[in-house]
Amino acid sequence: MQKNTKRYIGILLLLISFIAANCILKSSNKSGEIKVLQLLNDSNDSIKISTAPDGDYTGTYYAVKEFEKQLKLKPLDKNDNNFEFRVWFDLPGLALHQRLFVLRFEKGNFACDLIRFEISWSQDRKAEPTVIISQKTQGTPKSGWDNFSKQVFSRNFPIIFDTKKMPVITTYVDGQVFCFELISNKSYWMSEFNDPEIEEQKGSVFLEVENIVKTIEKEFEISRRVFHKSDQGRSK
Amino acid sequence: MQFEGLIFLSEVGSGFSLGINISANAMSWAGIAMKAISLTSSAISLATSVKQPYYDSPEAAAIGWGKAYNNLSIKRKKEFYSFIYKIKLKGKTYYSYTATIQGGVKSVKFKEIDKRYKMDLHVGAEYEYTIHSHGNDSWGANNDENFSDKPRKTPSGLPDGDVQVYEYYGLKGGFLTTPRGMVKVSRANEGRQLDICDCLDNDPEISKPRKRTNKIWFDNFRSENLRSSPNTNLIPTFFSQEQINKMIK
Repeated sequence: MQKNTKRYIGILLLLISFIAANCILKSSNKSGEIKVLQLLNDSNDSIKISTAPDGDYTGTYYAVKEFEKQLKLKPLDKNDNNFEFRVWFDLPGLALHQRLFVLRFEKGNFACDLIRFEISWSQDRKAEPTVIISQKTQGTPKSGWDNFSKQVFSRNFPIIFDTKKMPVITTYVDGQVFCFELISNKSYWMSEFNDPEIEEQKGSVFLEVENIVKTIEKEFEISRRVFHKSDQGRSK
Repeated sequence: MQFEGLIFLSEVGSGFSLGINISANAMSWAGIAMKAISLTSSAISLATSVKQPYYDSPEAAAIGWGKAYNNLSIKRKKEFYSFIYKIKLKGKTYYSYTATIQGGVKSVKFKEIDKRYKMDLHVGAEYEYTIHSHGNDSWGANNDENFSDKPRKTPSGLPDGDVQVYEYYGLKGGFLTTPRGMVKVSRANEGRQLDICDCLDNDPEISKPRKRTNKIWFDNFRSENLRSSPNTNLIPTFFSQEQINKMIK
């Protein structure tokens, strides 16, 4: 009973936080989004990471940790940065080319790294794959940071880390997943989703995932995956 | 209830015809042209008389499946999925494949695979291997020529890698057909994938096309009894549902 009450208070606080945050966003400078995320911090009391039913971390978590190590990135869950948001595109599955979007808030400004990397598997695929960075660039959103951050950190944003609102996600064999990592005010969240392009159960969580992914792709002109020569003209 | 023959025909009902010919081995397999048959109660008597191929080894059944489905999988740019099962008929062991599921682009829903797995087989038949195709070549974007086999626990706890699926069901392994025309096998406890044949067609739009060698790696076939040599006969025997029912009795 007490647990339920706490949960409801938590949800209520979260809602209030985001209504308040929206107000802040409307009138504030770039640090407004950070305040949103700090409010998210205040309403959640622990680190949230997607886990398997046995309580262990998922394979995606381990893949992210391995790739992070090889890409020489600081582990986000041990990062002292006040705010960093990472989106891993096309994880495990069969993808050889993967993309990572890194958004930081440093010295009062946003900074973004776009990393493309390739994965080289051993023949027997038993050893961890070797990760090679094929491209690393700094990016700026086409419509500007204010507009971009309003689109991504909307009032629906926290839903992607709210395990209580997660639908039963269809499991796809060979399918690829998107992973979101966030550190804000020394609290860490991680969640994973099927590629929204193939996911049929488009509840509010998946619509939010799709919104974030598409906004990043559009604002930073990130190419969609190419499956075949004849698909190359389909989208950039 | 035995649904297997009927389910097989439901694939045929989509306008698919099956023809097999391995000329490189001087083996001519009788092509089977199957008429499109809709799966209605009136088609049942016809359905039971249509013959399915039964092979002497799971590897031969995998090659047969690859000949039947890999081109279609490449053309449609979709993964296809099926199971290879074993059945004993009049004292002899045969292998065949179940109806094939068409998945999505570079993925198959696990719940569809599981639905297929839970459908009835013939009495006494047992699943031994999974088999699936990776569809068209992805121009180097995807690892289409290999099994996906990283141990990936999912939030649902269900398997999402090729190797994890056969491990989940406790099967002997899985076969894969690729855009470059290969049939490969990954067996439980062997810890690596092996080539079975280079005998299927390449994806016609492949980035680096190569000449098909028609090579078959018989060394990578496995016998049911470890003491005997594997059966390398690739020619199937055809049985109708009606004949199978009689032999099972």
